[in-house]
Amino acid sequence: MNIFVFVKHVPDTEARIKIDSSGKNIATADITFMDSPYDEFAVEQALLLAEANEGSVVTAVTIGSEDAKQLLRDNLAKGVNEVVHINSDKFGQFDALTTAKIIAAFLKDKEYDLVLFGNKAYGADNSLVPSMVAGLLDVAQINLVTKMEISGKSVKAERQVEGMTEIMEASMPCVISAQKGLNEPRMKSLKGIMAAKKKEIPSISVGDVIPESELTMGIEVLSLQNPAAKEGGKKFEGEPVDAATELFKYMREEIKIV
Amino acid sequence: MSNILVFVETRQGKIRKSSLEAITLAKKIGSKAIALVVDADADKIATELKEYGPDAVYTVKGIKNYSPDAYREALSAAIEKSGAKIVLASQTAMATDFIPAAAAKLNAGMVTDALEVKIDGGKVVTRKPIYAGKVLADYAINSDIAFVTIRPNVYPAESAASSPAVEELAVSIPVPKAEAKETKSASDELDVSEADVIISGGRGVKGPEGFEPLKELATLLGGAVGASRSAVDSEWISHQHQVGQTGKTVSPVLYVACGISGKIQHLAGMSSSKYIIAINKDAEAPIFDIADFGIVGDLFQVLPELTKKVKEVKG
Ligand SMILES: Cc1cc2nc3c(=O)[nH]c(=O)nc-3n(C[C@H](O)[C@H](O)[C@H](O)COP(=O)(O)OP(=O)(O)OC[C@H]3O[C@@H](n4cnc5c(N)ncnc54)[C@H](O)[C@@H]3O)c2cc1C
Repeated sequence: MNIFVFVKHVPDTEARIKIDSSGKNIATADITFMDSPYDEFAVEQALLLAEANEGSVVTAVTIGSEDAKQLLRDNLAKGVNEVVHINSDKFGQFDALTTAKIIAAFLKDKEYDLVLFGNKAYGADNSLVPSMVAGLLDVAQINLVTKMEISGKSVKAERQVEGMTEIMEASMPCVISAQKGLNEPRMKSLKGIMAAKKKEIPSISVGDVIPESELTMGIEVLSLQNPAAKEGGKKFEGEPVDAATELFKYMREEIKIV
Repeated sequence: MSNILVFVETRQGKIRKSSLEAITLAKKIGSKAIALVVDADADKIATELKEYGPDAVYTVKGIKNYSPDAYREALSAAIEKSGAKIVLASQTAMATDFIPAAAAKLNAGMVTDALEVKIDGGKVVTRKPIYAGKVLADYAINSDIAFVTIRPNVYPAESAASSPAVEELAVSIPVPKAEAKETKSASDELDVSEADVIISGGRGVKGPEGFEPLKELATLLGGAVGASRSAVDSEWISHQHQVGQTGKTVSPVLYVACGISGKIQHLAGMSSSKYIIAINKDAEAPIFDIADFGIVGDLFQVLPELTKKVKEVKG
């Protein structure tokens, strides 16, 4: 099987996010970047599937600045076979549509059975790219996957929707986006890290994949702001019975919910 | 302004409440709200929709099971027919599954999980949280057609009687590339993303049994039970209930955090709740920084007393 997995470099989820002086971008100077949390489930699934299907090739791809190459090195250390870096310093400013167009153009002349993503990237928090890529390539898609199996050319997968589990069947090629619960991502092995250090990371530019003129963005950032810090309200410390009385009063008189 | 097409989601013949919210919003910002219903029983659904005031209802009845390809075709047909320049839906697993594919095919921009949608200078402008709520972004959608999903519970559905024309759309339905074969109901429980009241538990509930008093109060108030990742990772409750960065994002009227410390990743999922109550033993817990009302105390002592009082009035 030919499996592609798309990964993204995002700010550490623990880091405070500040806005730069333009008011339209985040200030990236003092933050460290990491693999977007859901992407790790996608990578793990690619590796598990490759292990179960002899002769498979897993290719990890990222779009990003020179720094994003580290992400590919980390994935090589986990066991992916091939990596491709699509170089762009503007990546942070691309919207989902633009990103999806680059990915679809990249895949167009490749042979692929499965295209894996995390279900959303930390940052824009949109969950748009996997579905948009499936739409542009006109292939099957299953999103928010928590369980999957392959038989022949078909994929059977479970996805969590509001209040229920939906069991989907799709024909390959298929786009899959991974949700937490799909697997337990592995760590990099020491041997893998050593081997990955020596590997060349092939880099191409966005322009090699798609003409810039086709990259019109669907959305435009008007402004970013940090939300006003919410102030803590009343606090009560005392006997449980009195606490409950106060709470009840609050729910009744203030929130009007009982 | 322009016509707005609203995708009305149904599951097992029931309208999703948050789809009604999308109709209310469409009526506020558009000149005409047109609802699209994809359901074998679409006529019945269309009748129910009348109370919420759509100007027209389009129905597609020939799709048996949910399929992103087939629903995409239905949506595209409805967009073409209506001439809508704005497509609205509630932020659900179904909407974010097939609508982005339709948007991309039309070379259109899309914003998900919007907290605010308005029309400004002829453009759709939306506000949404990014970086798990650490930043609020205002976006203008520049494409010819704008796609937006809105967070449930942000725009309350308002009833507004209408007598919409109901029209069945002719859609050539493709052989689905992906299709739902069956659904397993986790239960009849209300999903946290749609609940007005959420009683949520963290590591402080100490075990699966610890969720019982939370469930009791949630049921009395017609709400749902939420959980922190620690509680989910300990397998005390299923992931469906998890609130936060790697769980669900909720905006209920009331969120009661019981034995939850209030780590940033948890706050990411619930800080837009209208009222937040926290019950925690530790007076220094960060959850108190965002709570409207904090109780420093043992949840196992406070909750039963509170439930008793609620029972007296709800009895
Ligand atoms: C990438 C990433 C994603 C994450 N995503 C999420 C997410 O989606 N959702 C999420 O919740 N977390 C998430 N986390 C985890 C998060 O950082 C915290 O670890 C987690 O929220 C802590 O859960 P907790 O508050 O239940 O537990 P703790 O932090 O252990 O807090 C337990 C609290 O219970 C109180 N307590 C104990 N006993 C009682 C009692 N009897 N009565 C009253 N109070 C009591 C204690 O004082 C304490 O404050 C994520 C972390 C990472 C790194």
